[in-house]
Amino acid sequence: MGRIRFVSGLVAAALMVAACGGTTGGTSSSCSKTFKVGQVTDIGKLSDKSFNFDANVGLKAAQSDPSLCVKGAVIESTSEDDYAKNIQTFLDQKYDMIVTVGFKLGDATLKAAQDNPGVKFAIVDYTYKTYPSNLAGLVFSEDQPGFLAGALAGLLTKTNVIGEVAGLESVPPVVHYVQGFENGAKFTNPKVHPLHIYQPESGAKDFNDPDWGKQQALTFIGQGADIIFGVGGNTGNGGLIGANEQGKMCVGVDVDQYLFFPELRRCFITSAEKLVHNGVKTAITNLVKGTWVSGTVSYNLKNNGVALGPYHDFDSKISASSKAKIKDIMTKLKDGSLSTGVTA
Amino acid sequence: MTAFLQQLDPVSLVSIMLITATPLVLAALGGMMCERSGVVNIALEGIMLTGAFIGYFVAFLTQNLWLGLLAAIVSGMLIATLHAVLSVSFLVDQIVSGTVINILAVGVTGVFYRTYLETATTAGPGTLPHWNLPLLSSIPVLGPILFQNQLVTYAMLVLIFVVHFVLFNTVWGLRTRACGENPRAAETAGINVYFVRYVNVIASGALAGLGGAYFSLQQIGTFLPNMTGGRGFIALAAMIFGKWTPGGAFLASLLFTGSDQLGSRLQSVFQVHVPLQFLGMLPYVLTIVVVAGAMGRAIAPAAVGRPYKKT
Repeated sequence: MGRIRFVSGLVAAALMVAACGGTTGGTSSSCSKTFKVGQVTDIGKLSDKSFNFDANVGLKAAQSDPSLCVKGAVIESTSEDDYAKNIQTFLDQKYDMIVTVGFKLGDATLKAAQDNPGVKFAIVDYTYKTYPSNLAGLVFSEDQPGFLAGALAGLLTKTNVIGEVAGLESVPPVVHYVQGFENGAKFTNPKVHPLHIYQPESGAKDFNDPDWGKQQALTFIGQGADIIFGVGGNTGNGGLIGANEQGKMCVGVDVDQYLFFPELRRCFITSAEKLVHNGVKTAITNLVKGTWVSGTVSYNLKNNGVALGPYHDFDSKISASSKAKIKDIMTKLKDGSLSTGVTA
Repeated sequence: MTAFLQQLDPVSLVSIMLITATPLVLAALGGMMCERSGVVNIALEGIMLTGAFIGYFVAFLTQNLWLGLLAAIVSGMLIATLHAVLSVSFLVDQIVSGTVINILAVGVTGVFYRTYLETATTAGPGTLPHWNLPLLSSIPVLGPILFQNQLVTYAMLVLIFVVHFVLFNTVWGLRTRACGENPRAAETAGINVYFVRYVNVIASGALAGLGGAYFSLQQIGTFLPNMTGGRGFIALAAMIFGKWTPGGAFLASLLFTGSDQLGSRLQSVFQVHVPLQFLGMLPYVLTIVVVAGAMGRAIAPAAVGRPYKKT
C-alpha cells in the first residue's frame, strides 16, 4: 500500500507541476471599476516568442496604462483539451473580457461567447462567418510583411534559391506569410526559385519540432538556398538555426526575432512582423472606453497592425537602392496600388 | 536524370537520415539494455527530455559544452535510478513507473525552463563542433556521411558495436539476458537479479541522457519545452522492430528517418502535391507494413515487464 501511495503521490506532484500556469498582477488605485482581462494561450504558450507572447505584451501594455484600469491574467494551455476548460476558469472568476490566441481556440471561443453574452471575447488569428455581438476576430494581413520580407530576400539572394520552413498548412496565417514571401521575392527578382515545406500534422510536434525544421533548412541549403524564412514557432526557429549554422541568411517571423535569439543575430536580414500587441491593446481599449467593435477586425500596414522589422546587422550591407525599393513597395501596399496577390 | 539526382541529393539525404537517427538509436540501445534484463523502459522519452534540459542548463551556466554533455548523461542515470528503485525494488508496475517519469520530466523541465532560461539574455554555449576525421572525411560519398559529424552521432555509431558486444559476447550480457528470460533460474545459478537489473536500467539512462544531449547541445544549441517531441516512443518501436538487437534497431531507425526525409523532399524539393497528412503518416504506415509482413515475429525477452520478487 505504501508503495502505491508513494507512486500516486508522485503522479499527483508531476501533474501539478505540468499544469502550472502564470499570472500577471497589479492594478492601479484610482479606478472606479477595474476591468479583468484574461488571456488563454494555445499550446505554443507564452514561451513561443511569437503570437502568444506578443498578445501578452499587448495585455501588459493595457494593464500598465493608468487610463485603462485593467487587471490581466494568463492561463497557458498545455493540451488541446484545455482550451474550453481554461476559458471557463476565467468565466467562473467573473472576468470582463477574455482574449484567446490562435486558430485552434476558434470553436471553444465561439461557444463560450454564445453562452456568455455579458462577457467580451477577442480571438487572435481567427474569423467566423457570423459573430455574436460580444466577439471580435482580430486578423492580421500577414501577406504584407511576408511580401516585404520576400522582396528583400529577392534582392539579397545570390543563388536565386530561397527556402521557407513553415508550420501547419491548415493554419491560414502560416500560408499567408509563405505565399506573400514567395510573391514578394518573385516581384523583385523574377529568376528566384522559392522552395517551401509545411510541417505534417503530428499533434505534440506541431510548431514545436526544431530538429525537424533544422533538417528541412539543411535540405534547402543543399538545393542552393542562401536565405531561409522560418514560419512556424519552434519548427520555423529550427530552420533559422540551420541557416545560421551554415552561414546563410535568415528571416524571422511574427516579432523582431533578432531580439530574442542572441546566438542567431548574424543571420537575420529582417523579420516579417505582425503587431499582435497593438491589436490586443486596441480591443481592450475599445472595451474600457465603451467603443467595443465586434466582428472581424483587420490589422494591416495602414493601421499599424503589421510591419517589416529592422535590418539590424544587415543595415550596412543592404544598398540604398534596395532600401528605396522596399520603401516604395511599402508605400504602394499601403495605398493599395500594389497587391500581394494572396487571397486571404 | 542528373537533374533528378541533384534534386534528390542522395549524399545529403543519407547524411540527414543518419543524423536524425542519432537520438532514436541511442534511446533504442538504452531500451534494449533495459528490456534484455527484464525491465520495460517507456521512460526513455522523459529521460531524453531531462538530459536535453540538464545538459543545456549546465552548459549554459558553465559555458562549457563538455560539462553539459557529462551532465546530460549523469542526469539520465539519476532518473533511470528512480525507475529502477520503483520498478525493481518496489515492484511497481514498470509501465506506471515509466509514465510517471515521462509526465514528471515534461513538467519539471518546463517549469525550470520558464524560471531560469526563458528570459535569459546572454548567448548560449553554442553547439558541439563538427569533427572532420582526417583522411576518412575526404573519402567520396562515405566521408561526408560518416566522418563529418558531431560527437553524439559518432558516439551513437560506436555504441551500436559496444552494446552488441556487451549483450552477446560478455558474461555480463549472458547474465543480463538470463535475468530477462528467466530470473528465477538466473538467481538459482547465483546471479544477483536486482543488481543486474539496476545496472542495466541505469546504463539505459546514460544512453538516453546522451540522446537528449543530441537535441540541446548538438543540434539546436538551446533548450525548448518538449523538444524531444515523442522520439523516445519511436525509439521503442525501433527497438522492437529491430528485434532487440543493436544492428536491427539501427536499421529500423534509418527506415523511420529515411521515410520521413523522403516524405519531406516529395513536398519541398519535388513539389509533389499529395496531402501532407499522407506524407506525415508514411513512416508509420511503413512500420505497420514491415512489422506485419516482411519481418516475421518479434519475440520479446520472456520475463520483460514482470517485477521479480526475490525468494
